[in-house]
Amino acid sequence: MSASENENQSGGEEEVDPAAHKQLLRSIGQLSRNQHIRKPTRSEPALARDEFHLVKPLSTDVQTVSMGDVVNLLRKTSKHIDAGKQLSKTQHQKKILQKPLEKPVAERIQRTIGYEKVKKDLSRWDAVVERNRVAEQQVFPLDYEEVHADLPPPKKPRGTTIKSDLMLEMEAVEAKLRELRGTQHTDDDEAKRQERLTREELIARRKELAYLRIKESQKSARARQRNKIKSKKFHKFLKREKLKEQIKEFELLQKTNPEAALEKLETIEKSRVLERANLRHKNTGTWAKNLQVRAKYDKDVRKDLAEQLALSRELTQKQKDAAESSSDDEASDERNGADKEEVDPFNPWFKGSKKAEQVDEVAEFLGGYRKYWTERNANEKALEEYREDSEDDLEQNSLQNGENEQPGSDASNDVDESNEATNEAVNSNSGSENDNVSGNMDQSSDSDSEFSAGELEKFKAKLNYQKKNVENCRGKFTTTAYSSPPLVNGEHGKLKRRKQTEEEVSPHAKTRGTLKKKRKQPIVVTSAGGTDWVVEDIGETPSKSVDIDDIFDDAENLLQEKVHEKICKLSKDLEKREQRKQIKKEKKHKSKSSDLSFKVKASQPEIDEELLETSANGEPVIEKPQNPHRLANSKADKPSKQDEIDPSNIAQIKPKSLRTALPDMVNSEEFFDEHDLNEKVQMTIAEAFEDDDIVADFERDREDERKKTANEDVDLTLPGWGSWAGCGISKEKQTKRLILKFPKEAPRRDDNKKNVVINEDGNKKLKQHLVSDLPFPFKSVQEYEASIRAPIGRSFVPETAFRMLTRPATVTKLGTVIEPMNDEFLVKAPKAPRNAVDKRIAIMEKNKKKSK
Amino acid sequence: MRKPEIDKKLLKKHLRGEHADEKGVKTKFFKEKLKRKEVYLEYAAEQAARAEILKNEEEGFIEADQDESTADYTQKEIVQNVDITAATKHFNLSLDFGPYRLRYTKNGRHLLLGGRRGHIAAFDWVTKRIHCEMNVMEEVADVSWLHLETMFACAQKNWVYFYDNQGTEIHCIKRMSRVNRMEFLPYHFLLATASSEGFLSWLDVSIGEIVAQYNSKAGDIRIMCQNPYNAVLCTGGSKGVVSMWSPTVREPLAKVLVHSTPMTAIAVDPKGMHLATGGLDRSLKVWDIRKLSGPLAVYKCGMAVNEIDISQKGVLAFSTGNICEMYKQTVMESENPSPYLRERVNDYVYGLRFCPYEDVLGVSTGKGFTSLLVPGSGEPNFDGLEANPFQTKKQRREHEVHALLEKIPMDLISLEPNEIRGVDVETLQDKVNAKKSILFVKPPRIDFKSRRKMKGKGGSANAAKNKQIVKDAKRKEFIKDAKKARDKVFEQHKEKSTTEDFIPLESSNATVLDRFKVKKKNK
Repeated sequence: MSASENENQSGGEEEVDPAAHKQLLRSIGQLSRNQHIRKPTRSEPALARDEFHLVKPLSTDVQTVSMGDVVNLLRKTSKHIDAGKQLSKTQHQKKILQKPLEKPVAERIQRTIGYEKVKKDLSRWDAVVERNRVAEQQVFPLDYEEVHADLPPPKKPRGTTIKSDLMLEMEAVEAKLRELRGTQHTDDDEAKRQERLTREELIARRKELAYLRIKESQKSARARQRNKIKSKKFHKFLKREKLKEQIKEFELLQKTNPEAALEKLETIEKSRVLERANLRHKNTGTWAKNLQVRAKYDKDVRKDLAEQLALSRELTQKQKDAAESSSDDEASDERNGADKEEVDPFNPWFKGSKKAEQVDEVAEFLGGYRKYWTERNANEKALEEYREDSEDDLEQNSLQNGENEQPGSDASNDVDESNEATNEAVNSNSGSENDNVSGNMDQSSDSDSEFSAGELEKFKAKLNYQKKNVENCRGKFTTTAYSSPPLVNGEHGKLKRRKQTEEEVSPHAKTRGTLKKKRKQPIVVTSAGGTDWVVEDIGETPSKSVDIDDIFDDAENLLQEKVHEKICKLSKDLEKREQRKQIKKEKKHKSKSSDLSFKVKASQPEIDEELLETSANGEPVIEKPQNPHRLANSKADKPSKQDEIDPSNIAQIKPKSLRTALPDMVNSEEFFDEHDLNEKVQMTIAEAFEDDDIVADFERDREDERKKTANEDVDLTLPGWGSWAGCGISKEKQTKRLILKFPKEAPRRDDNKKNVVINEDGNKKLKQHLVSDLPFPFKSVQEYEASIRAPIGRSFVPETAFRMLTRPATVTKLGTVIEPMNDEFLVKAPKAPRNAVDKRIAIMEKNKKKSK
Repeated sequence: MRKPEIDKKLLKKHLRGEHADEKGVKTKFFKEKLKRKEVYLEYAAEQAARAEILKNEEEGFIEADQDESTADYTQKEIVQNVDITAATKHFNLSLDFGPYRLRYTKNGRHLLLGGRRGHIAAFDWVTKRIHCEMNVMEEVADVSWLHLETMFACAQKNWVYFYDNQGTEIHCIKRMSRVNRMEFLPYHFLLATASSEGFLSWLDVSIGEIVAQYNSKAGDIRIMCQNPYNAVLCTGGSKGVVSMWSPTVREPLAKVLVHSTPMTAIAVDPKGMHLATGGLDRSLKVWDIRKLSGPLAVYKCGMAVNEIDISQKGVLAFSTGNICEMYKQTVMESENPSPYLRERVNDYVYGLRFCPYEDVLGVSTGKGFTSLLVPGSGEPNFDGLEANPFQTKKQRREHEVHALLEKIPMDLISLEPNEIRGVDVETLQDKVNAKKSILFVKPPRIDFKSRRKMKGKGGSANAAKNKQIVKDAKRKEFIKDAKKARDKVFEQHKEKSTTEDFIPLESSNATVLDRFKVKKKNK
């Protein structure tokens, strides 16, 4: 960075002459020639030489024997020329063994590698574990099917059969044949066999070990190297790269595992916050303070300081919303530029204050990254597809149109390229504007180093459009006489074209206006997708030739149609969605209104769940006071009003007279007329039961019964209390206070049935046997009840179903050793389901996967 | 080869309700489990629906010629036109020992007759092989088979006696005195009796114990039947009210005013859907007994109905005087329904019962017993494990053991038998509320009164001090307890420890960023 550079500069100011320096050192060395550590004097001949007694001589250049000398010496004798060469060679080739890493570091690396390996190894089993966990039934011992189906037939032991002459001859012929065909096949076979039969494991292990070693050494080397690097710039890049990588990972996670992505986001956030919070670029450090002194006189220093400040601001600044700036980038840029011109470009503080207004949430910072990556990915994808498409077409067309040198796809390609070109032109324009108008460092650095979001958006949009356009216009362009430079193929051609189109930028700009006028009905697309660019771009597409205008009109029409279709579709979708929402709302409403459903009420507290009064959404749950009686009776109250028969209507049910015969005991003469009979008998009955009015009795009974269970208010007023004031005093106030009010009783089951009394406490004993807890995996009462609704016993379901319902989860074969699972199981396909239930489950599984 | 399609209606019948939704279950694993369970249940339902093909027996019927009605056919004519085995099922017994009561066993194979004047006869009515016949030399009010044809109970003048099928007296229950009516609840092994004093008692015949006995306060009970759907006893009386009784509650579970005149007869159909009542107002009403609503139909008869019964296939039979009339449907649509069959028996009818799994109506009169053929009344397809008319001795024993093992405790007798598979929401609610309230309990107010001490011993200051000490101690104790309880609740509902990959927002470990946290002030 600039700081380091500065330091380097300052270091380099005092110039040192290396020769003089060496001389100096030598002369200093001459001062004391006496060696402090004496060479060991050999008093006795010893076989072993101790390395600790080898003392490096003080002056290296004088006394040591250099390798060159040895080599020279060896060269002299013809006998040892080779040896000398080898020696010199080795000297060049040799690598000095590096200092081993420190023990903890080495161990750490080893551990991480080991951990990763084990993790990878274990993760192979995940699917198997999952499968077995949900398996309906497992049978042990596991039967291993042979995976390698193409094994050679077993060989017969030698010498057991006597070969006939014919067989011998055939063998010879076969051998010859094999030779003719080449030995490749047999070799392969043999190798395989060897692998299978001998040392298979050994080799695998060796390989593995070697791999590990390599990995380890690589890692250690890299770590060492990295640690050595002092460049701040490098570390900065490293950090940035890391961040990018993290963001990439985050993008991936976002698609696959949103929760993990959130966590990742948090970590990224944290790192950013850390950086932001550590006051690194606030120019408050010693370095900055020192520079500030000099800043008065030195322009460069000022610049450095300003850069630092800008950096800090960048970190703290709100990221500009990329999506907003996509469409009207140019205009806004210009405007911005105009604004910025008034500002002193070298005054970082002023800029900061301006930016500070835009500063927003921290999250925006990351949002930018995210957007960038998503866009970039999408662009790349689109580009690839587009390329493939175009290439395919190119081939096809070249085949079809033999001599015709302008295949349709090319034409379209060209059009698209021209699009790109315009795009680029616009961008470059904006860039130049930026450069010219403002010395806005942020923006320029943005546009240089990172893609500006607006640009990207545009680019993406264009790409999409191009794709569409290609599809739409392909057929037409093949037939038109649209002149474009002939294309050979591939990248080269493309490059050429690009150049060309870039040159054509200015004519585009001119034609744009006219074309816009030509358009009969400007299409305004106001869909959520933000597709208004689609229409605009088509105006830009046609290049210099005028005769293709018709084509473009056609294309436009086509596009319009498509857009229209899309709009229709979207609107339909919207409608549908709205309808769905409405239905949902209605459902919700319904469910709220009815007491029957246990499912919907979030207010119903869950027994095993948290007692916190926040729902999953984080919204505070408003507890609805629910009447338990009502809940309990809800089932009984089910019948709607239509079902309930008004007791007063009972009488209205017309009695049907049965044509009954008269028994022998009755004098048949009395009953010669039906009507007569009715009246007479009724009369007699009425007379007989004159005293007891059965209906009134029952009603009284019913009232009594109902009163028994009713909660009545208790009046606590004492007689005479408050009445001393005489008449005319209202007692209301007092009585209200002195009446103990009880909660109103829940509606009874017999409320609407006047001829029925139902005992509300009738199932007290039964209740002791009921489940009053919601067992673990269940969230709602209804679900739990539904899950135990069906019996599984032999006396309720057919025998086959009973056996299926009660089959054990594991079956073990008696008298066999149950070995642990081995690797073969990883590649083994799950067994085909045998019975109906397993088949259905398998189908269900498949459907689920498909729907995913 | 593909299996034939299953009738949707049949499938629905066996599915037993709505599917459980996986949304109501917590983890992915259990969601999967639940889904799979539904597959099993569906399979079971399908198997059951497929098994319905085995019900290939068809019920009998009579077709009348033009200008004739089936009611005109007498038993003689019917017998002449049916096969020999069916013809043997019509017979008359003229007996001399007064008005008779009758009872068939659950499988419909055996018949028990009890004459008011002491005559008891138990026999296999199909083969006419008699188990026992005797005179108990006492008034017999009612008779009832127990769970098997080897034993029966007899309500005699004072007490209830038990006999085996040889006629040997096994038991005499003196606590059940002056019993008028008896009902045996086969799945609960309860013999329910109603006495002339208004006492209802339930005797568990498997353990020989009276599990419940109380006064219904309804006076003499002469009309009683059981609801086979929920094993509740239905009694009728002079008040025109049907009361439903369970052994667990001393008050009726429900009371329905069915007639504005005294009742004369009562019956519940074997499926427990309809209640048929007859009153002195010469009407016969059919009620929905599950909803306790109705009447679904009101029929006017020439005379007051004295006995009613409903067959397995819904044939309604009632008697007025000495005439038995049968109607094809319990609830008839036509304005002036004409009887399906009509038979004049030799005397006043005292008992009327359809024989299960047979097209036979047993009629007991003052002068004997008549077995009438009623084509299409009985269920033609029987479940051999449930009730097997052709049961061997071994099967009977097996059945007895199974029935005993599957005996339903009497606590479960209630109006809605399916309630047992529900959740007690009320208690659940209470539990939740209790748990919640633990978090917000207030220390109780302690009213401490110091012991009165002799003058000069305590002093008011000391007393006040003591009072405070006690109060504090109590409060502390309470707070401690409350905290413990609270902690327990929190412990139960604590979030599970996070996985290794999860980075918690607030970790216990110190991080660099902790410096930005708001620090606690040290006091």
